[in-house]
Amino acid sequence: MLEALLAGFEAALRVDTFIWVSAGLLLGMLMGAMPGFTTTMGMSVLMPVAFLVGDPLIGIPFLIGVYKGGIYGGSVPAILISMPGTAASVVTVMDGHELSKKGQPRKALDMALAASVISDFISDFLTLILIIPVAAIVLGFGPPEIAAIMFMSLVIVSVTATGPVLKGLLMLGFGFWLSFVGADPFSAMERYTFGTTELYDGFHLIPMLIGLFALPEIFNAVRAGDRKRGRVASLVGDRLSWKELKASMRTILRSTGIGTAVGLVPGLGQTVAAMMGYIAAKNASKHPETFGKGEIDGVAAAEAANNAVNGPTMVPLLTLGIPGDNVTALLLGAFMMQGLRPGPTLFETSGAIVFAILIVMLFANVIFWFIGYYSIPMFSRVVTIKKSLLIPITIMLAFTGTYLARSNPFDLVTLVGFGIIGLALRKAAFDVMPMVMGFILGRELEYSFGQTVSLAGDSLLQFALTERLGMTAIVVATPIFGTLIGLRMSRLRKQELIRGG
Amino acid sequence: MFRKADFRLVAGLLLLAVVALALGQRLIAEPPINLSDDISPLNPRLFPSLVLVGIVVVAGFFIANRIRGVEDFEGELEPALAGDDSGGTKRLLGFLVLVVLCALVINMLGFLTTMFVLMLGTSLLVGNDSIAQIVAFSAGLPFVIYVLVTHVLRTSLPELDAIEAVLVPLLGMLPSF
Amino acid sequence: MANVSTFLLRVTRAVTTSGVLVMMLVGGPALAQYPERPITLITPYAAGGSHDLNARVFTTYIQRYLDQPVVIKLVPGQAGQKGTLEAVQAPPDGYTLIFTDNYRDQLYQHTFRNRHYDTTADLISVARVNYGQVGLIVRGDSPYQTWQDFEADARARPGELKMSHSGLWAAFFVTAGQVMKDRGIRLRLVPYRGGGPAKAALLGGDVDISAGFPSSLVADVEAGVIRILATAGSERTIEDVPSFAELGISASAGFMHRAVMAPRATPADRIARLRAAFAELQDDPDYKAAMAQMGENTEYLDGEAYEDERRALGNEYAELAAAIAAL
Repeated sequence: MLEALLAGFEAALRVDTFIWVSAGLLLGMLMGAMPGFTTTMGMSVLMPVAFLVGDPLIGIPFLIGVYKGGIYGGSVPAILISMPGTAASVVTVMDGHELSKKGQPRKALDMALAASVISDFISDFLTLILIIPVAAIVLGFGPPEIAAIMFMSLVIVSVTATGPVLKGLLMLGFGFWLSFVGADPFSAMERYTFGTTELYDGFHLIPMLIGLFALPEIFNAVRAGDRKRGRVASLVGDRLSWKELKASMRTILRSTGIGTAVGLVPGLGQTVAAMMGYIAAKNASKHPETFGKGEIDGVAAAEAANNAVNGPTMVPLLTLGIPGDNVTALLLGAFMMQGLRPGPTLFETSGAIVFAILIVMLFANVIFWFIGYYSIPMFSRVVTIKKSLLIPITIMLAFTGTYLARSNPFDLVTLVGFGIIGLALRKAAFDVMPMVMGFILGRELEYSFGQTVSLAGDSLLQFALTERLGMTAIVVATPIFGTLIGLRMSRLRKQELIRGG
Repeated sequence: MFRKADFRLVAGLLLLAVVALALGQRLIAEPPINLSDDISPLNPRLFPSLVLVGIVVVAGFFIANRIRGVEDFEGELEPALAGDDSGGTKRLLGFLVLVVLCALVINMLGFLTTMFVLMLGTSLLVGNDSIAQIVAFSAGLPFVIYVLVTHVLRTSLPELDAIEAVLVPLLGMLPSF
Repeated sequence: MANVSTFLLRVTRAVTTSGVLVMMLVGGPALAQYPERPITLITPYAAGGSHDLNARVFTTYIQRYLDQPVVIKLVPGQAGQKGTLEAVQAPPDGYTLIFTDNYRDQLYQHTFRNRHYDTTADLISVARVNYGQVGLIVRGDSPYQTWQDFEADARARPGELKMSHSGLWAAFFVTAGQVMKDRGIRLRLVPYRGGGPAKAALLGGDVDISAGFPSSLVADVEAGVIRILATAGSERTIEDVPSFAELGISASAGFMHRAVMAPRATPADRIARLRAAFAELQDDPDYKAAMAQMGENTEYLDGEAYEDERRALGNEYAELAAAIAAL
């Protein structure tokens, strides 16, 4: 093992590898910044390039670079025009865009970059040295545990949503129900589709997110009219200062831990990680009421968490040849096309190459810092474009992004529909996050629950108590935990009301 | 109380849930083959029904609380939206009509034309004065995006055959990978 | 005088140029050879699965015989119904193909209520690229050394032993159903989202037995992580591992045919061109080497022969579905 690691080090230190990784990072960032163009699509498009290159030490790090760049790239439009570039940056939208409005887009982008890079580096490092124990841990999560963890996440999200708990729960329920529209995950039976083919696959996430987050901003701008030639903000603001970064360091580290933990559980994903990181930061903060109104710590929390998920998701791929999500599935294909067979014998036969790839991944983060740092000033200028020009551009991007996701015209209906819903919800002071989470996790939770029932056989209760204590513990602890957090949130809210007036 | 936005929304949601529950049988298909318990998965009706019941219960609580005069946080999140101005509302409605129309015709008229119309309309609604600027951007930017998406990102965008026939050979001459 | 002639000259030039342009636009397609632009291969499977990987290999090499790239479009979802719908609704001009398998093609009409298409009527075979043979697998440290061990235990404890599979009515599920029917045992079948998670479930100890394609399990078997108890077919494919036929299980069980199809209304000459390209592909040494490296076979059947095969399978499957439901 150790020789392989050292050999990997040697192999990794090649100029052309780093050039290709940088190219991948840059391309990934640009692709991530294009709303609707998911990282998976980007990687699919660039896969032939990786294949043609022929050298696994160039092709695979290139694709991984695209992936990492993409996760950060999604936060750019999220912060600048309130449009999440990828699902992972949904949580960044709230505080990120508010910061832009306050005239600090550069600070927000800087923080997103810093948080992403730091957490990614740490997470990759941990993956590198702990790859074997991590593999064992990942296998330990079966459907019962996954279902329980999803249940816990959903309860926490509803309880910590802005506003009364009942409203949060309602949004959760609504989002949940929306995820059921379409074919059911087991027998592919049509649910609430009214026999149409358009609804057969359910609502698509990207148009829904663009509709919920970007469109209300656009609607408000149209409503306000713009005779005064206003802008989102007149300055790009200062850069992030070291002091501010240090102040958020604890949050970043906490989010890294949370993101890594979420990465270990198959099926959760970056958005859940971002949400959990954000909530934890809000909960731990001395002034939770600033979250959602332009709190830089919120941006740090979300972006750190969603990047930390990368490292652990690679582990089942490398050690067992089992891809955990779309991205790792693509990487599996890339590996196999290069003649590498991820699985138990991978480390024996090509250990040096695998470690080299992981090491390149690690250092790619450092490179990315530079790439990001120098491209941010250019990006942040976007907010200075006058609104009467920016808004038409934004709505055009919204349409394009929606169409890119699936080439399905019905998605445009989803876009506009959820835009209207988003506007109505804002007016009625409902927090949209539980709905988004409910939508993302709804069908997954149903599937995991169904699998659990199948595994349990005759007696679910007996199964829970004898074989799956972990699951039982989480399920029992959740309502208790949830109530405690909910009470704290509610107390803090009352205090703030008294203080603010 | 009945006029407050969140109350109306919750009532609407409650109604939706009740209707969905009532019509559940017809709206959810049953599998044509019934498998025995060991091998059949969850019934497709189970979870939706559970969630709908949950919505009804929570909505009920909320409405009951409101009637009793408890917990009024409406308006906390977006104070700026309070108050109405008819000019703004008319603009918003016009915009909605524009957006819906564009969504419906994009397949018929193609990407470039529809985006031109969309951007043009939006620019005017948002108060841009400079016609030259509007036209330049509304025509130019979609074109750039079109080239970017179809050529670089290799994804398709709806476009009229005539326009595509002209553009495809031109774009083929651009360097690609 | 000069003005009129200049004017006439300009008009003539304009008319001629536009005429040429119009002719290019209109006459163009008729003069060119099929295929004159890339062909889309809709692949309604998850990324990284055996279909995806097989597709990447043959699409790379078939370019040589079609002079145009064949681009893979992954459209997972709804047990392949989403992708199949897209292929069926695509214009039948030979530029959209679908990569599917026998279960989706012939079995699903009995198991999924689908009003939108009928694969037998709407699709025609271009080629059967290869087939995958399912193997029944247990963990390397499992107490079952042979299939007989497992079967005995399953008989002693009906409904208690658990098997993971890749989805309702997919290859592993159907194979499991046939095994249960032919051997008279009862297992509990637990669904997972694809072969990868099903294998993870086995390795994690959540289930007792699973299924897989031996070609993709070579490394695991070598490392002693997985043991193959039986393989599909009438003859042995692995030395010490019995075949289904030897164990009293139907010899046609557990075969997944990977086939490329096109909308039935596609013009016959284009279908012929595609079929010819696939036939030529079979003699390509690089293609065969690449497939061998992936551990897959290249058991090709041309379109016509596979059409017959489809019909035969279709007849079998009605009964099979009913038999599995009756278990």
